[in-house]
Amino acid sequence: MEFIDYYKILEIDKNASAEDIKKAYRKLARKNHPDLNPNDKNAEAKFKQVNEANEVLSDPGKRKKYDQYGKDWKHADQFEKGGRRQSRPRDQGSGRAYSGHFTEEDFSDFFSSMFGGGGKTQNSGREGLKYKGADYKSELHLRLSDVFQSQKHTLTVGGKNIRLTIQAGVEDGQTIKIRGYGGEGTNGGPNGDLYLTFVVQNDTDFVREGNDLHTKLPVDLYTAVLGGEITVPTMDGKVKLKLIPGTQNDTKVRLKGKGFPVYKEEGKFGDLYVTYHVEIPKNISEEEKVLFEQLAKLKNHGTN
Amino acid sequence: MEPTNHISIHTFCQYHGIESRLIFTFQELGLVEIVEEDTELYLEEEKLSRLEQIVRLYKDLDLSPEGVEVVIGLLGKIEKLQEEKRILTRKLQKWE
Repeated sequence: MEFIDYYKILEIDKNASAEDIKKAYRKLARKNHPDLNPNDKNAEAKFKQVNEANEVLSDPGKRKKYDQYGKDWKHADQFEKGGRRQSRPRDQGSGRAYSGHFTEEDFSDFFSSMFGGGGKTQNSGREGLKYKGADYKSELHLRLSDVFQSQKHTLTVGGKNIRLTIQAGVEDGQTIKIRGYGGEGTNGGPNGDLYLTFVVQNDTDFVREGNDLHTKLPVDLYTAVLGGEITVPTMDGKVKLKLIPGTQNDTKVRLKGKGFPVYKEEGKFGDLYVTYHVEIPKNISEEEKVLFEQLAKLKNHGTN
Repeated sequence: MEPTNHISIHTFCQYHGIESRLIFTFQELGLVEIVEEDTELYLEEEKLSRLEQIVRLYKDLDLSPEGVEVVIGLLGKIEKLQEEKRILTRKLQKWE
């Protein structure tokens, strides 16, 4: 656990007045507010720090204690004679979508070792009020090759295990709502919801566009000119394709149903688009060169 | 279809420590929909997180309701642009 310089966080000096602190806090809170910086983890962390700093420095009692013990904060406990430190289980991998009201979970260990577990006191007028719990946001990282088929996952959010079947064909950035897996409601109010966003990393050589896949396939010059058979890799194995003589570079063919599964429509697939990339030989032998020259001469005397 | 639960404006305002007048101002600006049922006024639970975001912007950032409207509009635009950017980036991969 490290000492946290709350003055540095608020970018003010140690003699700052209450008014300076308020101004500095407001400014930094505006800049880093999670609602204005969606999906920005740095801003979110900074926002929490700024709130914690304000919590201490805007309270004359806490500020006095903080200033007094300063860097010797580790001895503060001895002065206080109280094992006020509380163990606080932390949730892994879930962020609070609802940033408006802070609980002790949002403050650092440093804060709780000095001031005890209690964070901001909640607004009055809430006692006994039945209200829905906070919504949580979380990310699940998957590989593209994983989401080609439906699969079961177990994740832990907020100490609860959630068993999920991830349907084949989920999109990168797609968010699903899981009812009741957010924060606990107050006084018997319903639980909040969990918003789970899939981050799908492409670990294949295909480019995914919706349900369709795209790929480039090298074809050697002779097969392109004379025609023949080539092997095309797809997500579920290889297929053989016939090439007509005189196949042009950049020719695109569509393999129906060889694309990506359509989300929540079992048995339905997108298409695979294969673009041929005809490879012109770079280093040719003397013998080949002679043959190419012969071909070139033939062409010149041809009908074209 | 999941059934839509309604939260009374009274409860919402009490919980967030705001006056109901503010909700009506947001309604006039087209940021909130209010449902009327048996002369009581309600908010749809499905749209609660959006309204909570609006209230946070109003309270945390000290914005006027009009300021909140501008911010919400811009956030919507950013989201749209990010989505477009994602699609374009993916399309570009085909040419690389």
